[in-house]
Amino acid sequence: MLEIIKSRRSIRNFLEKPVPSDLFSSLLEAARWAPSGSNMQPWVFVAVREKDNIRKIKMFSPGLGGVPTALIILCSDGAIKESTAIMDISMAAQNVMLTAIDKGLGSCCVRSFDQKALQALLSLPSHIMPELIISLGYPAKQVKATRRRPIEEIVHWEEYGGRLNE
Amino acid sequence: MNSAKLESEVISIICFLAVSARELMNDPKIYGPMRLMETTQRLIEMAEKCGVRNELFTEVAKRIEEAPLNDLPNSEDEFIQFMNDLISLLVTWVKQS
Repeated sequence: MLEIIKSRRSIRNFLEKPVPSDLFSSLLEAARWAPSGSNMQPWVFVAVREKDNIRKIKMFSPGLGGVPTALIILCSDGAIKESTAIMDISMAAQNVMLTAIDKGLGSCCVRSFDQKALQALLSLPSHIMPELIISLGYPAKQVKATRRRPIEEIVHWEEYGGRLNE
Repeated sequence: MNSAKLESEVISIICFLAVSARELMNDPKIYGPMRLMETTQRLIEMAEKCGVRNELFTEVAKRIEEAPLNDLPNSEDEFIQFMNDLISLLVTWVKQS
């Protein structure tokens, strides 16, 4: 699992090869099983595969790079008032992206889009708010690993500033 | 490219720029240069689809394609250098033209 986590990259170049239906369904299933505060599941997922719909969504999503063959739009459901909604959706997004790697797909999590525009494009009712887009497809090229802050810099043992004594 | 296709491409770029302008009010600062570089790339693609080609376009597109975008903001210094080099290329071309 750690290797899958470490191998995740933000993919912005995709092959034209479509994502098979069964595989796409498994990504949605992964989203559905994400942890959720009080098990409220304050989310709605919109799955998009039609080329023209992807093109229109991309027009209002500057952060969406390349031409993905599928999208999952993760939305908060305002009818389920839950303060952890964004965190729940973020965990669902991670589930999708890790499952995607396991299935040989690339993905990119996008927040730079116009929420109101997407609401209109996807015919979402006003209480369903798009929070994240995950673009999906087969990667067209490898992306090198990004730098990560060293563990000594970000992990504190027992209390802030605490070091591991071994 | 016919006029309907051109119109569609222009609308697409207008949407990209308008939404970028709005989102950049809240987005990280580094997203601004990235959006502008992508717009540059899209304008070149559009010009090429319209049959307008020159060596400068090809070179600029190639450089943007290879730009150190993946590791931003860690690679911010490299990205600044890339933009400086790109401007230098453009100045040289404009001066000679």
